[in-house]
Amino acid sequence: MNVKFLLIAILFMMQCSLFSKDLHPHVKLNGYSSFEFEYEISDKGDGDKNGSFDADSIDLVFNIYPVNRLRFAIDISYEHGTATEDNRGNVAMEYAFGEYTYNEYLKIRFGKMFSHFGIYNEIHTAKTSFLTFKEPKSTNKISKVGGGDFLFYPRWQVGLAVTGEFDLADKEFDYILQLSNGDQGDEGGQDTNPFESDNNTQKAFGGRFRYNILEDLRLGLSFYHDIVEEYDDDLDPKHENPTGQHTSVFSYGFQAEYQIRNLTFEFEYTGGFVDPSSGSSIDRYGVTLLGAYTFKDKYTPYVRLEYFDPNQDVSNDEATIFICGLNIEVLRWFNVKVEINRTWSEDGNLELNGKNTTQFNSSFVIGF
Amino acid sequence: MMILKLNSFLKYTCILFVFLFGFFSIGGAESEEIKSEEIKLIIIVSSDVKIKEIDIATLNKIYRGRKTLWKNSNKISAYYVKSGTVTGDAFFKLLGVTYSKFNRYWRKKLFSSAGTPPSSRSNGQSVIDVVSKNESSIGVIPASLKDKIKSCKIIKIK
Repeated sequence: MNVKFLLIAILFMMQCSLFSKDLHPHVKLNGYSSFEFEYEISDKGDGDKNGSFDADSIDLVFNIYPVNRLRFAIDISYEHGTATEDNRGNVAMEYAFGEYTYNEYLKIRFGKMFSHFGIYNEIHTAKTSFLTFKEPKSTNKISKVGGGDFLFYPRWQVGLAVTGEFDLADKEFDYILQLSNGDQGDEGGQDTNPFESDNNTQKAFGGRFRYNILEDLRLGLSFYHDIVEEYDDDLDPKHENPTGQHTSVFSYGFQAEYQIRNLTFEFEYTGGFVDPSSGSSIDRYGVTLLGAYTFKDKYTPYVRLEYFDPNQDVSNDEATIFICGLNIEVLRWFNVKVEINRTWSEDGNLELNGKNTTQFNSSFVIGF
Repeated sequence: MMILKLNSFLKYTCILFVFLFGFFSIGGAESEEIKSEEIKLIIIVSSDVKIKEIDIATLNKIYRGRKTLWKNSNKISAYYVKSGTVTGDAFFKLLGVTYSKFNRYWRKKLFSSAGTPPSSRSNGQSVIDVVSKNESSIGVIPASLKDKIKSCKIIKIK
Protein backbone atom coordinates (compact mmCIF):
# COMPACT_ATOMS: atom_id res chain seq x y z
CA MET A 1 0.00 0.00 0.00
CA ASN A 2 2.79 2.38 0.96
CA VAL A 3 4.61 1.56 -2.26
CA LYS A 4 1.51 2.39 -4.29
CA PHE A 5 1.13 5.66 -2.44
CA LEU A 6 4.77 6.47 -3.10
CA LEU A 7 4.43 5.72 -6.80
CA ILE A 8 1.30 7.85 -7.10
CA ALA A 9 3.06 10.69 -5.33
CA ILE A 10 6.08 10.36 -7.61
CA LEU A 11 3.94 10.28 -10.74
CA PHE A 12 2.11 13.35 -9.51
CA MET A 13 5.39 15.13 -8.92
CA MET A 14 6.69 14.10 -12.35
CA GLN A 15 3.51 15.40 -13.92
CA CYS A 16 3.99 18.68 -12.07
CA SER A 17 7.57 18.89 -13.23
CA LEU A 18 6.46 18.72 -16.87
CA PHE A 19 4.60 21.96 -16.38
CA SER A 20 6.60 23.78 -13.75
CA LYS A 21 10.05 22.38 -14.68
CA ASP A 22 11.03 22.60 -11.03
CA LEU A 23 8.94 21.20 -8.20
CA HIS A 24 9.77 24.33 -6.27
CA PRO A 25 12.51 26.97 -6.71
CA HIS A 26 14.50 25.03 -4.09
CA VAL A 27 13.62 21.47 -5.16
CA LYS A 28 14.53 19.93 -8.51
CA LEU A 29 13.43 16.53 -9.72
CA ASN A 30 15.20 14.69 -12.51
CA GLY A 31 15.66 11.06 -13.33
CA TYR A 32 16.46 8.39 -15.84
CA SER A 33 15.31 4.99 -16.88
CA SER A 34 16.45 2.17 -19.11
CA PHE A 35 14.58 -0.74 -20.63
CA GLU A 36 16.83 -3.41 -22.07
CA PHE A 37 16.97 -6.47 -24.27
CA GLU A 38 19.91 -8.89 -24.12
CA TYR A 39 20.53 -11.93 -26.25
CA GLU A 40 23.50 -14.31 -26.18
CA ILE A 41 24.16 -15.22 -29.78
CA SER A 42 27.01 -17.67 -29.20
CA ASP A 43 26.57 -21.18 -27.80
CA LYS A 44 29.30 -20.93 -25.19
CA GLY A 45 28.50 -17.67 -23.45
CA ASP A 46 26.83 -17.40 -20.05
CA GLY A 47 24.58 -14.58 -21.24
CA ASP A 48 20.85 -14.71 -21.85
CA LYS A 49 20.19 -17.34 -24.52
CA ASN A 50 16.44 -16.81 -24.31
CA GLY A 51 16.70 -13.16 -25.26
CA SER A 52 14.99 -11.37 -22.38
CA PHE A 53 13.48 -8.00 -21.76
CA ASP A 54 14.68 -6.26 -18.63
CA ALA A 55 13.00 -3.36 -16.87
CA ASP A 56 16.50 -2.42 -15.86
CA SER A 57 15.96 0.64 -13.72
CA ILE A 58 14.20 3.86 -12.99
CA ASP A 59 16.04 6.38 -10.90
CA LEU A 60 14.62 9.49 -9.30
CA VAL A 61 17.13 12.24 -8.65
CA PHE A 62 16.29 14.97 -6.19
CA ASN A 63 18.36 18.08 -5.62
CA ILE A 64 17.14 20.13 -2.69
CA TYR A 65 18.49 23.54 -1.81
CA PRO A 66 17.04 24.30 1.64
CA VAL A 67 19.19 27.40 2.16
CA ASN A 68 21.94 29.19 0.29
CA ARG A 69 25.22 27.24 0.17
CA LEU A 70 23.54 23.93 1.05
CA ARG A 71 22.47 21.20 -1.37
CA PHE A 72 21.07 17.81 -0.59
CA ALA A 73 21.36 15.33 -3.47
CA ILE A 74 19.52 12.00 -3.57
CA ASP A 75 19.28 9.27 -6.20
CA ILE A 76 16.79 6.49 -5.50
CA SER A 77 16.93 3.53 -7.83
CA TYR A 78 14.22 0.94 -8.56
CA GLU A 79 15.79 -1.95 -10.43
CA HIS A 80 14.34 -4.83 -12.44
CA GLY A 81 10.66 -4.08 -11.90
CA THR A 82 10.89 -3.83 -8.14
CA ALA A 83 8.16 -5.80 -6.36
CA THR A 84 9.12 -6.26 -2.72
CA GLU A 85 6.12 -8.48 -1.95
CA ASP A 86 7.49 -11.03 -4.39
CA ASN A 87 11.11 -10.42 -3.46
CA ARG A 88 11.87 -9.26 -6.99
CA GLY A 89 14.20 -6.51 -8.06
CA ASN A 90 15.59 -4.09 -5.56
CA VAL A 91 15.44 -0.54 -4.31
CA ALA A 92 18.70 1.22 -3.66
CA MET A 93 19.86 4.62 -2.58
CA GLU A 94 22.62 5.25 -5.09
CA TYR A 95 23.68 8.35 -3.24
CA ALA A 96 22.37 10.71 -0.62
CA PHE A 97 24.68 13.41 0.55
CA GLY A 98 24.72 16.95 1.82
CA GLU A 99 27.00 19.49 0.18
CA TYR A 100 28.08 22.73 1.79
CA THR A 101 29.50 25.27 -0.66
CA TYR A 102 32.10 27.49 0.96
CA ASN A 103 32.91 28.81 -2.49
CA GLU A 104 33.41 27.29 -5.96
CA TYR A 105 36.88 26.17 -4.96
CA LEU A 106 35.77 24.30 -1.88
CA LYS A 107 32.63 22.28 -1.28
CA ILE A 108 32.29 19.76 1.51
CA ARG A 109 30.17 16.64 1.10
CA PHE A 110 29.00 14.12 3.66
CA GLY A 111 26.96 10.98 3.15
CA LYS A 112 26.78 8.15 0.66
CA MET A 113 28.41 8.96 -2.67
CA PHE A 114 29.66 7.34 -5.82
CA SER A 115 33.39 6.75 -5.91
CA HIS A 116 34.66 9.49 -8.17
CA PHE A 117 37.22 7.56 -10.17
CA GLY A 118 37.76 7.63 -13.92
CA ILE A 119 35.05 8.45 -16.45
CA TYR A 120 32.24 6.04 -15.74
CA ASN A 121 31.72 5.10 -12.13
CA GLU A 122 29.76 8.18 -11.14
CA ILE A 123 27.42 7.79 -14.14
CA HIS A 124 27.36 3.99 -14.43
CA THR A 125 23.70 3.80 -13.40
CA ALA A 126 22.66 6.69 -15.67
CA LYS A 127 22.66 5.09 -19.09
CA THR A 128 21.39 8.36 -20.53
CA SER A 129 24.76 9.95 -19.73
CA PHE A 130 26.88 7.80 -22.02
CA LEU A 131 26.73 6.32 -25.50
CA THR A 132 27.14 2.61 -24.94
CA PHE A 133 24.78 -0.04 -23.58
CA LYS A 134 26.78 -0.56 -20.38
CA GLU A 135 29.80 0.94 -18.68
CA PRO A 136 33.18 -0.68 -19.51
CA LYS A 137 33.93 -3.89 -17.65
CA SER A 138 37.69 -3.68 -18.02
CA THR A 139 38.07 -0.46 -16.05
CA ASN A 140 34.89 -0.41 -13.95
CA LYS A 141 33.10 -3.72 -13.37
CA ILE A 142 36.12 -6.02 -13.46
CA SER A 143 34.43 -8.79 -11.48
CA LYS A 144 32.65 -9.61 -14.79
CA VAL A 145 35.94 -10.21 -16.59
CA GLY A 146 37.87 -12.15 -13.99
CA GLY A 147 38.86 -9.34 -11.66
CA GLY A 148 37.80 -11.21 -8.51
CA ASP A 149 36.15 -9.82 -5.40
CA PHE A 150 38.07 -6.57 -5.25
CA LEU A 151 37.11 -4.06 -7.87
CA PHE A 152 39.66 -1.35 -8.54
CA TYR A 153 37.57 0.69 -6.10
CA PRO A 154 34.17 0.22 -4.45
CA ARG A 155 31.41 1.70 -6.56
CA TRP A 156 29.91 3.57 -3.59
CA GLN A 157 31.40 4.98 -0.43
CA VAL A 158 30.15 6.54 2.78
CA GLY A 159 32.22 9.30 4.26
CA LEU A 160 33.43 12.81 3.65
CA ALA A 161 34.59 14.53 0.50
CA VAL A 162 35.96 17.87 -0.54
CA THR A 163 35.46 19.02 -4.09
CA GLY A 164 35.73 22.14 -6.17
CA GLU A 165 36.12 23.53 -9.66
CA PHE A 166 37.90 26.61 -10.93
CA ASP A 167 40.00 27.93 -13.79
CA LEU A 168 43.70 27.17 -13.83
CA ALA A 169 45.63 29.12 -16.46
CA ASP A 170 42.27 29.92 -18.09
CA LYS A 171 41.37 26.22 -18.38
CA GLU A 172 38.76 24.35 -16.40
CA PHE A 173 40.00 22.28 -13.48
CA ASP A 174 38.09 20.21 -10.96
CA TYR A 175 39.01 17.91 -8.12
CA ILE A 176 37.45 15.65 -5.52
CA LEU A 177 39.01 13.90 -2.53
CA GLN A 178 37.09 11.23 -0.62
CA LEU A 179 37.63 9.69 2.81
CA SER A 180 35.38 6.72 3.56
CA ASN A 181 34.84 3.36 5.23
CA GLY A 182 35.92 1.79 1.96
CA ASP A 183 35.76 -1.89 1.14
CA GLN A 184 34.98 -4.44 3.82
CA GLY A 185 37.09 -7.21 2.39
CA ASP A 186 34.28 -9.38 1.09
CA GLU A 187 32.35 -7.73 -1.70
CA GLY A 188 28.74 -8.81 -1.87
CA GLY A 189 28.83 -10.77 1.38
CA GLN A 190 29.82 -8.22 3.95
CA ASP A 191 29.10 -8.94 7.54
CA THR A 192 29.39 -5.26 8.15
CA ASN A 193 27.29 -2.77 6.22
CA PRO A 194 30.00 -0.47 4.87
CA PHE A 195 27.46 2.34 4.69
CA GLU A 196 26.78 2.04 8.41
CA SER A 197 29.99 0.99 10.13
CA ASP A 198 33.57 0.14 9.32
CA ASN A 199 35.06 -3.22 10.23
CA ASN A 200 38.52 -1.77 10.70
CA THR A 201 40.25 1.42 11.77
CA GLN A 202 41.76 2.06 8.36
CA LYS A 203 39.89 4.52 6.18
CA ALA A 204 39.88 4.46 2.41
CA PHE A 205 41.23 7.50 0.62
CA GLY A 206 40.75 8.35 -3.02
CA GLY A 207 40.34 11.19 -5.41
CA ARG A 208 40.36 12.51 -8.90
CA PHE A 209 41.78 15.58 -10.67
CA ARG A 210 40.59 16.68 -14.10
CA TYR A 211 41.97 19.43 -16.29
CA ASN A 212 40.79 20.71 -19.66
CA ILE A 213 44.16 21.01 -21.29
CA LEU A 214 42.36 22.16 -24.45
CA GLU A 215 38.77 23.34 -24.69
CA ASP A 216 37.75 19.96 -26.07
CA LEU A 217 40.31 17.74 -24.37
CA ARG A 218 39.96 16.82 -20.72
CA LEU A 219 42.59 14.77 -18.94
CA GLY A 220 42.13 13.16 -15.55
CA LEU A 221 44.01 11.28 -12.86
CA SER A 222 42.35 9.12 -10.21
CA PHE A 223 43.54 7.05 -7.27
CA TYR A 224 42.14 4.88 -4.48
CA HIS A 225 43.78 3.24 -1.49
CA ASP A 226 42.40 1.07 1.29
CA ILE A 227 43.57 -1.53 3.78
CA VAL A 228 40.98 -4.22 4.49
CA GLU A 229 40.56 -6.99 7.02
CA GLU A 230 41.34 -10.60 6.13
CA TYR A 231 39.19 -13.59 7.14
CA ASP A 232 39.85 -17.29 7.07
CA ASP A 233 37.25 -18.66 4.64
CA ASP A 234 37.66 -22.25 5.93
CA LEU A 235 37.61 -21.64 9.69
CA ASP A 236 35.34 -18.62 9.64
CA PRO A 237 32.99 -18.80 6.64
CA LYS A 238 30.67 -16.16 8.12
CA HIS A 239 33.57 -13.74 8.50
CA GLU A 240 32.87 -13.03 12.15
CA ASN A 241 36.45 -12.92 13.40
CA PRO A 242 39.09 -11.15 11.34
CA THR A 243 42.50 -12.80 11.42
CA GLY A 244 44.20 -9.53 12.27
CA GLN A 245 46.02 -9.60 8.93
CA HIS A 246 45.35 -7.02 6.24
CA THR A 247 45.17 -6.74 2.49
CA SER A 248 46.27 -3.54 0.84
CA VAL A 249 44.40 -2.28 -2.23
CA PHE A 250 45.73 0.48 -4.41
CA SER A 251 44.42 1.61 -7.79
CA TYR A 252 45.27 4.50 -10.06
CA GLY A 253 43.89 5.67 -13.34
CA PHE A 254 44.44 7.99 -16.25
CA GLN A 255 41.66 9.21 -18.49
CA ALA A 256 41.28 11.35 -21.58
CA GLU A 257 38.04 12.64 -23.08
CA TYR A 258 38.19 14.41 -26.41
CA GLN A 259 35.32 15.94 -28.30
CA ILE A 260 35.94 17.90 -31.44
CA ARG A 261 33.15 18.75 -33.82
CA ASN A 262 31.19 15.52 -34.10
CA LEU A 263 33.98 13.19 -33.08
CA THR A 264 34.24 11.71 -29.60
CA PHE A 265 37.20 9.81 -28.19
CA GLU A 266 37.63 8.35 -24.75
CA PHE A 267 40.64 6.58 -23.34
CA GLU A 268 40.91 5.16 -19.87
CA TYR A 269 43.66 3.17 -18.19
CA THR A 270 43.19 1.79 -14.69
CA GLY A 271 45.81 -0.26 -12.91
CA GLY A 272 46.78 -1.24 -9.42
CA PHE A 273 47.38 -4.07 -7.01
CA VAL A 274 45.76 -6.18 -4.32
CA ASP A 275 48.44 -7.14 -1.81
CA PRO A 276 47.39 -9.74 0.79
CA SER A 277 49.43 -10.39 3.95
CA SER A 278 50.51 -13.78 2.61
CA GLY A 279 51.21 -14.72 -0.96
CA SER A 280 52.23 -12.45 -3.75
CA SER A 281 50.66 -9.19 -4.77
CA ILE A 282 48.21 -9.29 -7.68
CA ASP A 283 48.95 -6.61 -10.23
CA ARG A 284 46.16 -5.95 -12.69
CA TYR A 285 45.18 -3.36 -15.25
CA GLY A 286 42.44 -2.54 -17.72
CA VAL A 287 42.25 -0.33 -20.78
CA THR A 288 39.27 1.14 -22.61
CA LEU A 289 39.25 3.02 -25.88
CA LEU A 290 36.09 4.44 -27.43
CA GLY A 291 35.53 6.29 -30.68
CA ALA A 292 32.26 7.73 -31.96
CA TYR A 293 30.97 10.06 -34.62
CA THR A 294 27.67 11.93 -34.40
CA PHE A 295 25.86 12.97 -37.54
CA LYS A 296 22.68 14.95 -37.96
CA ASP A 297 22.85 15.51 -34.17
CA LYS A 298 21.01 12.23 -33.83
CA TYR A 299 22.91 9.15 -34.96
CA THR A 300 26.10 8.15 -33.19
CA PRO A 301 27.81 4.95 -34.29
CA TYR A 302 30.52 3.92 -31.87
CA VAL A 303 33.14 1.30 -31.30
CA ARG A 304 34.82 0.41 -28.04
CA LEU A 305 37.75 -1.82 -27.32
CA GLU A 306 38.45 -3.14 -23.84
CA TYR A 307 41.34 -5.15 -22.53
CA PHE A 308 41.77 -6.52 -19.02
CA ASP A 309 44.63 -8.41 -17.41
CA PRO A 310 43.50 -9.75 -14.00
CA ASN A 311 46.98 -10.81 -12.92
CA GLN A 312 50.13 -9.78 -14.72
CA ASP A 313 52.00 -12.78 -13.27
CA VAL A 314 49.59 -15.17 -14.99
CA SER A 315 50.09 -15.41 -18.74
CA ASN A 316 46.79 -16.86 -19.90
CA ASP A 317 44.02 -14.98 -18.09
CA GLU A 318 43.41 -11.90 -20.22
CA ALA A 319 40.05 -10.81 -21.64
CA THR A 320 39.32 -8.59 -24.61
CA ILE A 321 35.98 -7.05 -25.53
CA PHE A 322 35.06 -5.37 -28.78
CA ILE A 323 31.81 -3.46 -29.01
CA CYS A 324 30.22 -1.97 -32.09
CA GLY A 325 26.99 -0.06 -31.72
CA LEU A 326 24.66 2.74 -32.67
CA ASN A 327 23.09 5.30 -30.38
CA ILE A 328 20.09 7.14 -31.82
CA GLU A 329 18.71 10.20 -30.11
CA VAL A 330 15.09 9.76 -31.13
CA LEU A 331 13.97 12.75 -29.11
CA ARG A 332 15.78 14.95 -26.68
CA TRP A 333 16.56 12.82 -23.63
CA PHE A 334 15.24 9.69 -25.35
CA ASN A 335 17.81 7.36 -26.89
CA VAL A 336 17.78 3.94 -28.50
CA LYS A 337 20.97 1.88 -28.31
CA VAL A 338 21.81 -1.17 -30.39
CA GLU A 339 25.11 -3.00 -30.10
CA ILE A 340 27.03 -6.18 -30.72
CA ASN A 341 29.44 -7.19 -28.02
CA ARG A 342 32.19 -9.73 -28.74
CA THR A 343 34.27 -11.09 -25.85
CA TRP A 344 37.42 -13.18 -26.09
CA SER A 345 39.04 -14.71 -23.04
CA GLU A 346 41.87 -17.06 -22.22
CA ASP A 347 41.64 -20.34 -20.35
CA GLY A 348 43.10 -18.95 -17.15
CA ASN A 349 40.44 -16.27 -16.77
CA LEU A 350 38.53 -17.29 -13.64
CA GLU A 351 35.25 -15.69 -14.71
CA LEU A 352 35.12 -16.31 -18.46
CA ASN A 353 37.15 -19.55 -18.54
CA GLY A 354 38.40 -19.15 -22.09
CA LYS A 355 34.96 -18.70 -23.62
CA ASN A 356 34.53 -16.50 -26.64
CA THR A 357 31.05 -15.03 -26.67
CA THR A 358 28.90 -12.72 -28.73
CA GLN A 359 25.93 -10.78 -27.39
CA PHE A 360 23.30 -8.58 -28.95
CA ASN A 361 22.18 -5.78 -26.65
CA SER A 362 19.60 -3.08 -27.10
CA SER A 363 17.93 -0.53 -24.87
CA PHE A 364 15.53 2.37 -24.68
CA VAL A 365 16.92 5.07 -22.42
CA ILE A 366 15.11 8.07 -21.05
CA GLY A 367 16.32 11.03 -19.04
CA PHE A 368 14.24 13.88 -17.67
CA MET B 1 42.21 -21.13 -29.81
CA MET B 2 42.58 -17.47 -30.43
CA ILE B 3 44.64 -15.74 -27.78
CA LEU B 4 44.36 -11.97 -27.88
CA LYS B 5 47.13 -9.94 -26.34
CA LEU B 6 48.68 -6.59 -27.05
CA ASN B 7 49.05 -7.16 -30.79
CA SER B 8 45.33 -7.80 -31.03
CA PHE B 9 44.69 -4.71 -28.99
CA LEU B 10 46.64 -2.71 -31.55
CA LYS B 11 44.81 -4.49 -34.36
CA TYR B 12 41.45 -3.45 -33.03
CA THR B 13 42.68 0.02 -32.32
CA CYS B 14 43.57 0.29 -35.99
CA ILE B 15 40.12 -1.00 -36.97
CA LEU B 16 38.56 1.62 -34.75
CA PHE B 17 40.47 4.43 -36.39
CA VAL B 18 39.86 3.11 -39.92
CA PHE B 19 36.17 2.89 -39.12
CA LEU B 20 36.06 6.45 -37.84
CA PHE B 21 38.13 8.00 -40.58
CA GLY B 22 36.19 6.09 -43.22
CA PHE B 23 32.96 7.25 -41.77
CA PHE B 24 34.26 10.78 -41.43
CA SER B 25 35.36 10.98 -45.06
CA ILE B 26 32.19 9.40 -46.47
CA GLY B 27 29.75 11.29 -44.31
CA GLY B 28 31.69 14.53 -44.19
CA ALA B 29 31.92 16.72 -41.16
CA GLU B 30 28.62 18.05 -39.97
CA SER B 31 28.62 21.75 -39.40
CA GLU B 32 27.88 22.68 -35.82
CA GLU B 33 27.00 26.24 -36.69
CA ILE B 34 23.63 27.21 -35.35
CA LYS B 35 21.35 28.40 -38.06
CA SER B 36 19.33 31.10 -36.44
CA GLU B 37 18.29 34.60 -37.17
CA GLU B 38 20.52 37.25 -35.69
CA ILE B 39 18.62 38.73 -32.79
CA LYS B 40 19.87 40.91 -30.00
CA LEU B 41 19.74 39.45 -26.53
CA ILE B 42 19.72 41.17 -23.18
CA ILE B 43 20.52 39.87 -19.72
CA ILE B 44 18.10 40.42 -16.87
CA VAL B 45 18.51 39.79 -13.14
CA SER B 46 16.11 39.95 -10.24
CA SER B 47 16.03 43.27 -8.42
CA ASP B 48 18.00 41.98 -5.39
CA VAL B 49 21.07 41.13 -7.49
CA LYS B 50 23.64 43.90 -7.04
CA ILE B 51 25.53 43.74 -10.30
CA LYS B 52 25.35 46.13 -13.23
CA GLU B 53 27.25 44.22 -15.87
CA ILE B 54 28.48 40.74 -16.67
CA ASP B 55 31.00 39.31 -19.11
CA ILE B 56 30.40 36.32 -21.36
CA ALA B 57 32.94 34.18 -19.49
CA THR B 58 31.04 34.66 -16.22
CA LEU B 59 27.74 34.04 -17.97
CA ASN B 60 29.19 30.82 -19.33
CA LYS B 61 30.29 29.75 -15.86
CA ILE B 62 26.81 30.39 -14.47
CA TYR B 63 25.06 28.39 -17.19
CA ARG B 64 27.61 25.55 -16.90
CA GLY B 65 27.14 25.38 -13.13
CA ARG B 66 30.70 26.43 -12.41
CA LYS B 67 29.56 29.58 -10.62
CA THR B 68 26.63 28.92 -8.33
CA LEU B 69 26.73 31.77 -5.82
CA TRP B 70 26.51 35.54 -6.15
CA LYS B 71 29.02 37.62 -4.19
CA ASN B 72 26.56 37.91 -1.29
CA SER B 73 26.45 34.06 -1.13
CA ASN B 74 22.93 33.78 -2.49
CA LYS B 75 22.43 30.81 -4.79
CA ILE B 76 22.11 31.75 -8.46
CA SER B 77 19.00 30.55 -10.30
CA ALA B 78 19.57 30.74 -14.05
CA TYR B 79 16.92 30.64 -16.78
CA TYR B 80 16.99 30.66 -20.56
CA VAL B 81 14.62 30.25 -23.49
CA LYS B 82 14.67 26.64 -24.72
CA SER B 83 16.63 25.62 -27.78
CA GLY B 84 14.90 25.25 -31.11
CA THR B 85 13.51 28.77 -30.76
CA VAL B 86 15.17 31.81 -32.32
CA THR B 87 15.97 33.21 -28.86
CA GLY B 88 17.19 29.87 -27.55
CA ASP B 89 19.51 29.29 -30.50
CA ALA B 90 20.86 32.84 -30.21
CA PHE B 91 21.49 32.21 -26.51
CA PHE B 92 23.62 29.14 -27.23
CA LYS B 93 25.45 31.08 -29.92
CA LEU B 94 26.16 33.78 -27.33
CA LEU B 95 27.62 31.13 -25.02
CA GLY B 96 29.63 29.73 -27.92
CA VAL B 97 28.24 26.22 -27.63
CA THR B 98 25.70 24.09 -29.48
CA TYR B 99 22.65 22.83 -27.66
CA SER B 100 23.70 19.22 -28.17
CA LYS B 101 27.08 19.86 -26.57
CA PHE B 102 25.43 21.78 -23.73
CA ASN B 103 22.98 18.93 -23.26
CA ARG B 104 25.72 16.28 -23.22
CA TYR B 105 27.67 18.32 -20.70
CA TRP B 106 24.68 18.62 -18.33
CA ARG B 107 23.58 14.99 -18.73
CA LYS B 108 26.92 13.96 -17.30
CA LYS B 109 27.14 16.67 -14.69
CA LEU B 110 23.57 16.30 -13.43
CA PHE B 111 23.61 12.51 -13.12
CA SER B 112 27.10 12.40 -11.63
CA SER B 113 25.62 14.36 -8.72
CA ALA B 114 27.67 17.48 -9.46
CA GLY B 115 24.78 19.96 -9.67
CA THR B 116 21.61 20.89 -11.51
CA PRO B 117 21.25 22.56 -14.92
CA PRO B 118 19.69 25.96 -15.49
CA SER B 119 15.98 25.91 -16.20
CA SER B 120 14.54 26.50 -19.65
CA ARG B 121 11.32 28.31 -20.43
CA SER B 122 9.28 28.27 -23.61
CA ASN B 123 9.63 31.98 -24.39
CA GLY B 124 11.19 35.24 -23.29
CA GLN B 125 8.12 36.44 -21.42
CA SER B 126 8.20 33.32 -19.24
CA VAL B 127 11.84 34.05 -18.43
CA ILE B 128 10.92 37.62 -17.44
CA ASP B 129 8.12 36.28 -15.23
CA VAL B 130 10.28 33.74 -13.42
CA VAL B 131 13.23 36.12 -12.94
CA SER B 132 10.85 38.79 -11.61
CA LYS B 133 9.34 36.33 -9.16
CA ASN B 134 12.46 34.59 -7.82
CA GLU B 135 15.29 36.17 -5.87
CA SER B 136 18.91 35.86 -7.04
CA SER B 137 17.93 34.87 -10.54
CA ILE B 138 19.30 35.67 -13.95
CA GLY B 139 17.86 35.19 -17.42
CA VAL B 140 18.53 35.84 -21.08
CA ILE B 141 15.76 37.29 -23.24
CA PRO B 142 15.38 38.97 -26.64
CA ALA B 143 15.91 42.73 -26.61
CA SER B 144 12.50 43.15 -28.23
CA LEU B 145 10.91 42.38 -24.84
CA LYS B 146 12.73 45.25 -23.11
CA ASP B 147 9.48 47.15 -22.58
CA LYS B 148 7.86 44.22 -20.78
CA ILE B 149 10.36 44.31 -17.93
CA LYS B 150 8.91 45.71 -14.73
CA SER B 151 10.06 43.87 -11.58
CA CYS B 152 13.58 42.96 -12.64
CA LYS B 153 16.46 44.85 -14.22
CA ILE B 154 18.67 44.75 -17.28
CA ILE B 155 22.43 44.41 -16.88
CA LYS B 156 25.06 45.22 -19.48
CA ILE B 157 27.11 42.62 -21.29
CA LYS B 158 30.80 43.60 -20.96
